[in-house]
Order: sequence, then structure tokens, then C-alpha cells
Amino acid sequence: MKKRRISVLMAAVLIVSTMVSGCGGASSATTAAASKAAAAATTKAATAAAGAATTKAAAAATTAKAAAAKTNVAAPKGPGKVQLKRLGYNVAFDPNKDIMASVIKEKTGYDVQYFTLPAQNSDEKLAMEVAGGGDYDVVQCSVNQFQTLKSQGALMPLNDLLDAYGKDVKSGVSEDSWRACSDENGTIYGIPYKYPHPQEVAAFMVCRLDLMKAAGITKVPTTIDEFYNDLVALKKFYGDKYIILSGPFRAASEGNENWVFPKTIASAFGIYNDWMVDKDGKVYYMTESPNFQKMIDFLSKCSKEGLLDPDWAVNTTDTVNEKFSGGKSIIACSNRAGVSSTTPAIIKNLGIGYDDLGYIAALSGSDGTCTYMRTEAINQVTVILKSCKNASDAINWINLKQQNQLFINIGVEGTHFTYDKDHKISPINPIFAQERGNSYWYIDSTNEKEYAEEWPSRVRKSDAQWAAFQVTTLDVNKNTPKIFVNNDFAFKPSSENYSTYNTSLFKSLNDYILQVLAGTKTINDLDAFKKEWANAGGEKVRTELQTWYTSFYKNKK
Amino acid sequence: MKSDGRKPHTSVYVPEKISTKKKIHDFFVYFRQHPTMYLMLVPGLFFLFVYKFMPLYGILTAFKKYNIFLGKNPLDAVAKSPWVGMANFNRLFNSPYFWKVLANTLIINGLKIAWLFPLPIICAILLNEIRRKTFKKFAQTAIYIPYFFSWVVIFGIFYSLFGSYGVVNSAVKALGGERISFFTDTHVFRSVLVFTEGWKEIGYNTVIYLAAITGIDLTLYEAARVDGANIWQQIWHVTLPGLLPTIILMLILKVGYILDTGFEQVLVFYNPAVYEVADIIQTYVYRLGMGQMDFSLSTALGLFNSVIAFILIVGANTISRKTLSRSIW
Amino acid sequence: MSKEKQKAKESVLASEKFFRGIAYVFMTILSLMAILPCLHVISKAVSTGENVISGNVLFWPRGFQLEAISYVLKETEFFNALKNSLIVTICGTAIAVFTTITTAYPLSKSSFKGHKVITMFYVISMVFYGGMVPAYMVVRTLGILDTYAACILPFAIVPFNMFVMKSYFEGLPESIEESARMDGAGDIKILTAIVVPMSKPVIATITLLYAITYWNNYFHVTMYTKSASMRTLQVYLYNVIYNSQTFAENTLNGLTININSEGILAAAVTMSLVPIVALYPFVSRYFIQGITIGSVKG
Repeated sequence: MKKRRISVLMAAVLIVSTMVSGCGGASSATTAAASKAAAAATTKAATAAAGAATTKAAAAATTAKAAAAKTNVAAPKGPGKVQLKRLGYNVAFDPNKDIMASVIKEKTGYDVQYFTLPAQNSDEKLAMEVAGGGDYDVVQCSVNQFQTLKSQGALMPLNDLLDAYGKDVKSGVSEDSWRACSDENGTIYGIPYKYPHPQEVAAFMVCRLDLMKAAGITKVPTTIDEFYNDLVALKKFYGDKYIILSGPFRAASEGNENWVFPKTIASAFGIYNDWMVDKDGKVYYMTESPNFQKMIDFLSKCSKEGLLDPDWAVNTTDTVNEKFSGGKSIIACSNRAGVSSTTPAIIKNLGIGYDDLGYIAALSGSDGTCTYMRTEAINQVTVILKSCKNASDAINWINLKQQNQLFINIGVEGTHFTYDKDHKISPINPIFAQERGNSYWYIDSTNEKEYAEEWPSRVRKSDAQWAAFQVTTLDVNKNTPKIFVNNDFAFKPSSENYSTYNTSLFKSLNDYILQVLAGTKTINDLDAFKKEWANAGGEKVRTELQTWYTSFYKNKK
Repeated sequence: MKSDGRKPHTSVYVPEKISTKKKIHDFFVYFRQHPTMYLMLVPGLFFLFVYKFMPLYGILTAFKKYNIFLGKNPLDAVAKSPWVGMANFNRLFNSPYFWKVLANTLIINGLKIAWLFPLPIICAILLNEIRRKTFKKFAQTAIYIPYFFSWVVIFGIFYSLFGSYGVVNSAVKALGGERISFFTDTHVFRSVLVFTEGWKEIGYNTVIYLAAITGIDLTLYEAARVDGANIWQQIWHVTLPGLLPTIILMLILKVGYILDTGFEQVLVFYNPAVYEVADIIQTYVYRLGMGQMDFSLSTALGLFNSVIAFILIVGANTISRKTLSRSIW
Repeated sequence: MSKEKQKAKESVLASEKFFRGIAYVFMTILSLMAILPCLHVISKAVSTGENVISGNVLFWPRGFQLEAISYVLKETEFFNALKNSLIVTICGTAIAVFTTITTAYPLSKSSFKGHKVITMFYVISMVFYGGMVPAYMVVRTLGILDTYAACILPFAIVPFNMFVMKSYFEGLPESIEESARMDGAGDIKILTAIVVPMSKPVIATITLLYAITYWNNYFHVTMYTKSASMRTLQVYLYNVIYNSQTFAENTLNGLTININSEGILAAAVTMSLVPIVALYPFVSRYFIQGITIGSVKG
């Protein structure tokens, strides 16, 4: 009897399993097809037939769309009549359930379904979704993803749509930004989001002034020689007890790539980017800079003398933070996000105060060289897929969002923020973080000028961030604004060779530097590295960049 | 009849001198007699066909320069992408680092097999002898839990413990020694890989052997004990022969996959300081193709790995068949 | 009993006792080695924020608090991800075990015509892989993208597990089946009434293996789903790790500093262990009792 009951139970589980498998996520349209497929378990022919039918339908749809696009822009169907679908990068929360979804719906009236890409292989997933006929209306892309989609003709041109329904968007974004997202004929393919605060020393170093004072150092170093001498003095005083300088800080912050050596040190050698332009207008790579060797020698020297974290090559952001807030390191590479978690921890843990923390911004060389790049860069591009059936509504929705930018991103005056005496926005915590904390993911376009005013409030919500921000950005802007150099390639529309090769080139550059720091390679291996680099696409990228640079600046002059 | 009471495995190869006509006739006779046996295979074959065989069409991309956006959809794109013959493979084989990473792959996986293959077997045999149920359950659960941590989490844990300023090194320092850089020292790093893999996987593999042991007829042990066999002899004459099919299966498969495993672990643990000893084929190809969305290259590598694995598995199975008359198929 | 036999029996018992002693010592050491690093994570999950981020937590909590755990359970999509994982695992395992048993049984019979060819199919499928794009297209064409079926399909039959079961079936004595066949029992009856009850250990093993595979799976879920509501536990954990910086910057800023992203991650990992640790003892009892095939004879 018991056996029969068990087998009945197992049979029931099996049947229920097969039925439940058909249930799924947001796309309810597929459930019907799914249960049909699950029921027709044994007919392989059915599967093949279904496959053929779907491809034919997709093909028919694309040709119909192509015909419609040639005619005038269709009128939007209006909120409530259509459901939009937006795909964005990976985040840990569910964008459909976050409070921001209802905030945006309140102001725009549109019903929107949000989807996310995975944390890993997101480029491949995006390519598969788009090429496979994913029916998204709005897609939030990285610059690389934008280039891929654009070069494959998967994007809808936006000029007419913007003129018709996206006037605020058109006027809120600067000409330079538009140029970065268009082709040579001026056809706009994406809406850029520009990082709003370009003159910032985003990757700085935080240091324990209390420990430094005990070793006889009175102030935060500003030149590379002071810095080196300080490191040596600390090592002499503390020996093996503390890690003198810990890094790298790999996590990227808005607009800033992650380097494996401190940008604040590189600034002293005039190195501010991987691709740079000399005074004659020639494009060169970091390794070809005359000071690159000097910088490598400097880092090697530091490593040999035990001034660097022995685990430099292994460290992750978390381990660097851990060591600093655990009081194991004296100086650590960091950024605003990093200090927002380490500063409160170290204050509570070790009982020190805000005054015991110092921030080292860009160091200058013995000859006075100090270059730090402006992050005048496009962070992300919002696009509309060619296959989109609701393009006008999509643009309309983005436009409405931008019109209500302050409400959506910052909130209501008096509830979420107040204006201080300089008419700067000051957030009210904790409600600001609770109700607007995740608004960054939902941004498609901004009125660049206004957003540059609104954005610093996000920094102000954390005292720790604000402390760092004041020293590394506000003070630097006040005292030494000349250190900021343009990113020569900020507004370069993404191009084929650059997006194909630059990621792996940059990785091998980082790897080489890490190997030098760890002692497995030396400056003598630089020539071999250069040769490999040239073969791995380095020369191709240079040619491309040079061509663009020459023509762009010729036109500008 | 062998000493463990089992019949010799009957998949011994006997050359059939039966004509094809008779074979087909035999087939239909059997089919009519046992139709339900064939029916039983249907669900498995259905999933096999749909999920494993249909996608095999994509292997063609190893010989093409695959552009996913061509044509109407990615499948159509396979047909429309241009042929490049062996170009993808050449890119891999002609690279200056190919032999180095191949050697690393073989060495690291070889070390893992040598050190970690016997351990689960030993654990299963030991666990089997333990009578106290609570301890048995506790030990089984304990060695089993590490399997559920993903490599990213495992790296975090072991770095806290074994980092240059971690717990272990603090102890070493306190005892008067020098800090050991477990993660950046090329002499030590491979051991770290082997050790953490063992930590993660021993429980999982032990379960498989434990199940096989409990399938051994207990009366055989009784008979052996009556004959005066002590525990070592019991293990040698009853347990191990009973485990032999499972051991052979696992060994053949582990050897077969010698080029194809460990990617996720190495990717999370390695860093440029230890590329010399820890860069394996898959991590190397991963860096080669970074940001390029080069499906062709990864498919080519996958095909290379599959062919090698297939040859190794068939080869190992043939050896097993000839020497021990045991075969997976 | 003769003196010789007495002595022999004593030496047998002595050797077994000795061996058992070794077994206890060895397994205790191994268990501790396995558990200590886990204790590290669990301790971090229940320690105060500043201790966690400073690396002060070793194998025991420092400043015990449950805020990180309650945050994970209340504020994040932990429960939704757990629900998804449970559904995929339970349904997937049921389907997979059923399919494996029905596949392994015919293939284990040497008299079964065609078993060599079909087994070869499984070997080939075990080794050759068409790539993620074609697999994605198959899933898409079936119309099951973003459903549980897509998460179940990849492991509905795992050839390795099938071979383990097949190897076990081949070791079962044929005499029982033959006597049942002579009594007139059909193939299905033999499978369900005789073979399956005799195969409890291997079925339990395979169930466990499939359950683990489904539970741990990350890659396929991310490839075949796009809604955040379909994320399973592993995907959720990965996202927490991957996004810890932005999480710390944007979400936690208004809250107390008793928790931080590291603590939250540790809490999430700890919570995800709870179902497994709870389930395992139930399944493992099949490995603890031996079975006597001899008693099933006759």
C-alpha cells in the first residue's frame, strides 16, 4: 500500500513538473506556445515545424517594418495603449519591483516592462537577443555594445523621431555628445548619457594621517618625490607591520576605467590615458610614451623595496577595502564608492576621526608635470531597435522622463531634498536613498546642464563621499584646474577596430604592468610586449584613431 | 562467477559473423517482443535530440567567421557566414603561448587527478565502516557543503585565510617564519588550485562511491569474515571489486576531460603574476577573445577539446575493455 | 569454537576496530577542514558591519547581529530567487530522474538490440557541444525563453548520470528478472516492481546529483531568461557579488552602517545553504543502510 502511494505521488510530481515547466516570466505570450510544446512531448516534427513558422513570421515582420520606416513618423499610441519594453545592464534588484518603476509610471503614464542582461557574457547575450529577434523597444547599451549594434544595422535612426516627439531630449544633449552617436551623414542612432562631472580626480588614494604623523610625516604628499620619500619613511618606521601602499582598486566608477596602477601616480609622468596625442597631433600608445619607462622603473623600485602590497596582483576591490578598514594598510587606492563604505567602518572600528583620513589627489612630477584626464565621456547610449513597433511612444516616454528629470532622479523638494544657502541640492537621508537610490539605472537621457547641478547631491548623501569629493575634486578644481586634460577621443564615434581589439589590448597592458610589479617580468620585456601588441591589433587601432583624430580636428579648426 | 557474486560484464566484444539480413531480422523480432523497452528510451532521446543534437549544427561556426547578425536570425547567420577553414584553429595553435598553456592544462589537471582521485574512494570506504549514524550523517554533510559554494565565494574565503596578510600568514609570522604568498608565488599556486578543488569536490565524489558501496551485497562481507579475512582483506576482496565499475567509469571520464575542466576556478583564482604556471587553454582563449564577441574562436576551442576528449575516452575504454573486460558501453 | 578459529575471529575484529578508529580520526579531520571555511562565511553573516569589512571576523562572529540576514530576507529578492530555484530543482530533478531510469534500463540489457548504437549517441552528446548560440536558438524556437522549462531542459538528461545508473543496473543479478519474466511479467512491470526497489542507492545518488546540478546552475539560467523575476538563487548571489560596489554606493547609503555589501553577501550565501543542509540528511539515509541483494532472491 505504501509503495503504491509513493508511486502515485511520484507520478503526480512528474505530471505537475511537466505542467509547471511551461510557466514563465514576464512574456506571457510565450506561455501558450510553451504548454503546447511541453504537451507534444514525443513529436520532434512538431518542434521543427514550430521553428520554421517562427522564423518565417520574424522575417515577414522585419520587411513590414522596413517599409513603414521609410514613410513619415507614426504618431504615438499614447500611454495606456501600449506596453513598452526596456532592456538594461545588470543590477541586483528587480527593476519591475523597485519604487522607481512606479515613480516613473506616475509621471509618464506609460506601462513599462523592464529586463536586465546577465552579469557575465552580457555582450554575447545582447547580440543573441537582438539578432534572434528580441522585441525590445528601448535598450540601454554600453559604448561597445552601441558600436556593435550600430555597425550591424540593428538600430533605428532617431532624427525624425526626436524632432517630432523628443524635442527636450534633442535640446538637452549637447552637440558634441550627439556627434559621438551619429554616423558621418549626421544620422543619430542613439541617445548619449554623459558623465556629468568631468573634472574629477575619481581614482585617488586615501591615507591614514594618524599613522603617518606618528612616523614623522606632517602633510599629504603632492609631488611624486614627496610621495616616494613618505613611503620609504613609513616602511622604515613600521617595517612589516603594515602594508604601506595597497591596491589596485579595480572597480570602475562612472566614466572611469579600472587601472591596475594608481592614476594619481601616472599623472606625475604625464600619462593620463592608454591612447594619447602628442603636440604634433600624432596618436601614440601609453607604452610609447617617453615617460612610460620611468614610471615602470618607479613602480618596480617601490615593489622591490617592499613598499607595495605583496598581493597587488591578486587584490580585488573588496580585499583592498578590507585591508584599509581593518587597519592593515596605511595608504590605499580608492574611489568615492570605496570610501563610502570604508570610512564609516574604520571610524567605528579604530576609533579615529574624519581628520585622521587624508586624500592624495593627482601627484605631480619633479618637473611639474601633472596630467589627469577629464572624464568627458559618454557612459552609456540608449538606442531603439530597428524592429521596434512602438518607436514614437518610446521617444515620447524618454522625453517625458527628461522633462521630469528633477522629480524622477532627485525627488520632491522638502521631502527628498532641500536647497542649501548656495542653492546646491542637499539630500535628506534616509528617504532619499530609499526612494531614489536606484534611479541611476532608469536614466535614458538627461538635460546635461541641469543634471550637472543635480548630480552632486548623490555624492552629498554620504558624508564619507563628500569628504573625499571635496578634497579630490572641489579643491583641485579651485587650486590646480590646469591639470585636467581633455580625453582626445571622448567624442569619437565608436569604430570597428577600437571596439574589437581595445579591450584585450588594455587587458594585456594591465597584465604586463602587474607582472612587472610582481617581479615576473621586467622593463626588458617591454620590446617583446610592444611587438605582440602591434600584432594583436594595436597598429590597426592606432591607424583608425589617427584617421579620425586628424579629420575631426581639421574640421573643428 | 567472480568472488563478489556478480556476473562478468557481458559487453565483451565478440566479433559477429552474422549477416546483416539476420541482424535486421533479429532486431524486428526483439522489437516485437519488447516494444515497451524502445518506448522507454523515447523521453531521453527526445531531450537528447532537442538539446544536444540540434545545436550541433553550430559546430560549423568553428570553420567560419561567424557574424551573428547576418541573415534573419542567428541560425540563418551560421549559413550566411563565410568559410575560413582552419583559420580559427590556426590562430589558436600558432599563438606563441599555445604549448605553454597546453602544458599548464595537462599538468594542473593531471595533478588534480593524481591527488584527488583516490581521496573520495578512501573517504567512502572509511565512512562505510563508521557505525554511529549521527557521526556518519554529520561527516557526510560536512564534506558535502563546500560543493555548494561558487568559486567566486570560495576565492573570497580562501583569500581571507591564505592572503599575504591573512590568518595563516599571521600564524606563520608569529612562529617566526616569512610570509608565504600563496596567490602570487608560482611555486605554490598550483597547490592552491589543487587544494581548493579538493576542498570543494571531495564530498560530491564521495557520495557517488558511497552509493556504490551500499549496493554491495552484505552477505559477501559475512562470508569473508567467516573465512577469517581481516578488514584490509575484506576491502581488497569485496569492497574494491564492488567499486571497480564505478571507479573505472569515473577515471575514464576524468581522463577524458583532462583538457576541458577547471576553467571557472582558474579564472577566478589566477592573476598575471602566475600566468606562467596557471594559465590554461580556456583562460588564454578567453583573454584572446575579450570584448570581440568571437563565437567562432570559442567554438573552435570547444571542438578541439571535444575531439581530444572523445579520443581519450574511447581509448581509455578500449584499454579497460581489453585488460579488465569492463566497458562503459 | 577451535582455538585457531577463535584467534582468527579475534584478529578480524581487532583489525576492524583499528580501522574504525582510523576512520573516525580521518573523517573528523576532513570534516573540520571542510567546515572551517564555511564557518568563516556564516560568522561574517552575523557579525557587525565594521568587523566584517575590516576582516576581523575569522571563524566566530564578532558582535553578533542579525541585521544583515533580515535585510537579505526582507529587502532583496531572496525569497523570489529561492522560490525559482526550488521549482526548477524539484521539477527538473523529477523529470531528469524519470528520464534517466527509463533510458539506463534498456541500455543496460546486453540482449537489447541497438543498445550499442544508442549508447554511442549518449557518449557523443556528452563530449560534443554545439555552442551557446545554437542552444539559445533552439530554446527560442521552442518558445520557452524566460520560462522554467528553459532552465530545466539543459539537464533533463545528463549522460554521465545515465552511465552511472546503467553501470549499476548491469551489476544486478539477472536471475530475479528472469524468474519474473517466466512468471509472465512485462518489461515495465519488471522495471517498476523489481529493478527500481533494488536500485534505491543509485537512484538516491542520481537524484542528488541532478538536484545539485539544477540548484547550482548559473550559466543556463542567465542565457535563457531575461526577466529579473525568473532569477534563481545562484544568479541572485552572483548579482549581489558583481554589483556590490554600486549597491554600497546607492542603496545602503541611507541605512545604518551595521551592514555593508560584504556582510550582505555573506548573509545571502549562508541563507542559500539552509535548504541544502536541511535536505541532505533525508536523502543520505539511503547511503547509510546497506541492502542485501541476497535477501531479495527466491
